[in-house]
This record gives sequence, structure tokens and C-alpha cells, in this order.
Amino acid sequence: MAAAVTLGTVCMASADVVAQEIEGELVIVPLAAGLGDADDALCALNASGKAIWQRLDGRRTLGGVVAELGEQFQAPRDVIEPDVLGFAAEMLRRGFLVARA
Amino acid sequence: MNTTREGQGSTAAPQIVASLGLADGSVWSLSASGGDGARAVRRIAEAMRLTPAVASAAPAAHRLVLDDAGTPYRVRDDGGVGDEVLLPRQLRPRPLDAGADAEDLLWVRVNAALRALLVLMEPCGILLAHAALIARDGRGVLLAGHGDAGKTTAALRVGEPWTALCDDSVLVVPGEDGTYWAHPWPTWSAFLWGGSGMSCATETFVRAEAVAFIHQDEALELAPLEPQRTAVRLAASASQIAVEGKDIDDAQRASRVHRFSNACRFAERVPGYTLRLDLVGPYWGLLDAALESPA
Repeated sequence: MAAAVTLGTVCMASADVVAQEIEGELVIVPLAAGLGDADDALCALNASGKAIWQRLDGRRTLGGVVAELGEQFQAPRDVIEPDVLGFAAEMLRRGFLVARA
Repeated sequence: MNTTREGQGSTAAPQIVASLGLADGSVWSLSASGGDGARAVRRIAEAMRLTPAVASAAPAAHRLVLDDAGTPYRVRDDGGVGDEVLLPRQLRPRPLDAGADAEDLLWVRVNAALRALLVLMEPCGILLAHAALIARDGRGVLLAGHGDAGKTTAALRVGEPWTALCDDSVLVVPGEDGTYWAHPWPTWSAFLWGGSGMSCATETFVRAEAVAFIHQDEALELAPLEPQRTAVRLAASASQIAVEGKDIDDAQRASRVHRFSNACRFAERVPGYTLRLDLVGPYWGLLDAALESPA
């Protein structure tokens, strides 16, 4: 069973994915499983998703990411927090992110 | 593409050299002195319809030398033999190869040499797509798809004024101002089991104006594809012909990253489509319309 994602969780991109920007969206595909497996579950992040992804560097906690984004986008914490936690949980489930112990 | 035999002084074995000129002006070459390496270079030269020349004009970074076993090595700036190009284990020479069928072994050596050449090309934005290439008036369309998608069938029945340039693989080369060029690539699988193969003049090229991912269907339909999905599918098609297993090492990982990056840059410039086609309909009429008013 996967560990719960909390504001204290630290995440980073999996070494088994590659991310490239195409026309403003960040497309993430798995490397090890073969790029051909990625089409049906294409992961293309918009500006918001990209802003979160780029901060998941294995050092910041998700709480830190929430604080940074709140400051950058002048948005209340209770709006950003569920987005960041939900994003991280989904990316972890798909294996695009790994949680640092 | 040019081939030549050139001596390396009085004591060196003569080499066979094959050089490939691409649409962007770059030149790439393979050379070998004997054994399986020389046989592979010779077969590649035949399949790509080479014209003899005096010597390769390729810079060191664009050159590979094959040893007698067919193992590919880079060439140093001073012209000496450099590091081995690491390939998937399926393409590396093995002791058991001594008992293998000569034609099958040659096919593996050819694939190894071309795979190694692509390792050099990929950092320059060049991509080998798993696609047929059809063209009219110098305008090319890649018909991409899996091995059983029907690329050969679609290419061979294309109607005038379209012509089929190849039916399996296309070398995509970035040019200036966002232009992409498409070179036909021989169908190497046709050389297996004593087959005579399907050769093509690889140095010829057309402008790549679209890529259509084909699917067999009962109706004809051409639908635009988002660049993101075009990139992923194109990279996937390139991976299908890269002869890699699922357990990839660092070198293959780097190659996959290059392929995906190159596919992304291509997809930003060249429109992608999904092409549903049956076995009889004039699908190329849809492509005519798309080229006149791209999505």
C-alpha cells in the first residue's frame, strides 16, 4: 500500500521518465517501459501542472511547494494545497514521481 | 552516399568506405577493412544505392569504423579508432555467432552498424521513424504505424501523382528555418532469410510535410492529431525499430531521451494526423487536401 501523501512528503521525478515541452505543455513519458506504452495514458501538463512538476526536485516538501506557488500566483493556500497534493498523489501512482524517504 | 576503397599506406589493409550525404549538408560515413565489418558496409552501400567516390568527406564526429567482427567504434579527431559505440546486447557480436547462418549474421551486423550510426546522428536532431514515405512534387508524407499496421500495403497502392519512396523506415533530418527533410531508408527485414531486400536511394530526400499514423478501418478518415500525441507516437515508432529490449542501459536510455526530444521538435513543426484507411480507397486524396490546408 502506498504511503499517504502529506505536506511533509518530498518528491522527485522518476529516473524512468523523460519530460519534454511541446507547445507550452510538458509531456511526460516512461522510458524503461517503452515509449510506445505511453500513448493511451499521455501525460501532458499545462502551465499549472508544469509549475508544480518543476518544483518537485527531491529537496522541497510539498508544503514548501504550496507556499511558493501561493506566493507566485497570489492564490490562497486552501486553493493550492489540494491541487499540489492531488497532483503528487496521481504522479506517484503512475510512477512518474518517486517519494524520497 | 558514396563508397570507395582507399588505402591507408603501404602496410594497412584497404578499407571499404560508405559515406551518406543528408539534406542538411552533413556527411556521415562507415568504414571497415575486412571480415563481417566490411561485408556489412558493402551490404549497406548496395542497399542504399551508393555511388563510388574518392574518399569520405565526413568529419571525425560523423564517422564510424567497424572491426572484422562488425563491432562499431567512433573515430577520434586525429583519425584514430576511438571508443566502441555501445549497442543493445542483441546487436553485439557474441562467441555463438560463429555457428550462425551467414546471412542472418550479416543482417545483425548491418543493423548494428546502422544503429551505431544513429547513435551519432541523434544528438543532431535526426530521427529514424518507423514509417513508409510517399511523396508528390517533392512534398513527403510519412505513413507511420506498428509492424502490422499496413504501411507497405498503403505505400505500394498509392495512386498518381504520389509515389512510394520506401515502405518501412524514414530518416527525418532537421533543416534550417524549421524545415524537416525525409530520406527513404531500406527495408532491412526484407534481407532476412536470403531475401533480396528492398533498396532505395537513401541520399534522395523530400520535404516532410506531414506524418499520418495509419490504422486499418472500413472507412477513410484523416483527423488532426495534437503535437503532443504526435511526438509520443513518433518516438514510439522510432523505438520499435531500435532493436532494444525492455531492460535498457544508460547508453540506450540516453538514446531514448534523444529520440523523444527529436520527435518533440519534429511534432512542433510538422502536422500529425490519424489516418484511417481501408484496403481499396484512395486515401491519398485526403492527404492532398491536408497538404493544401494543413490543420
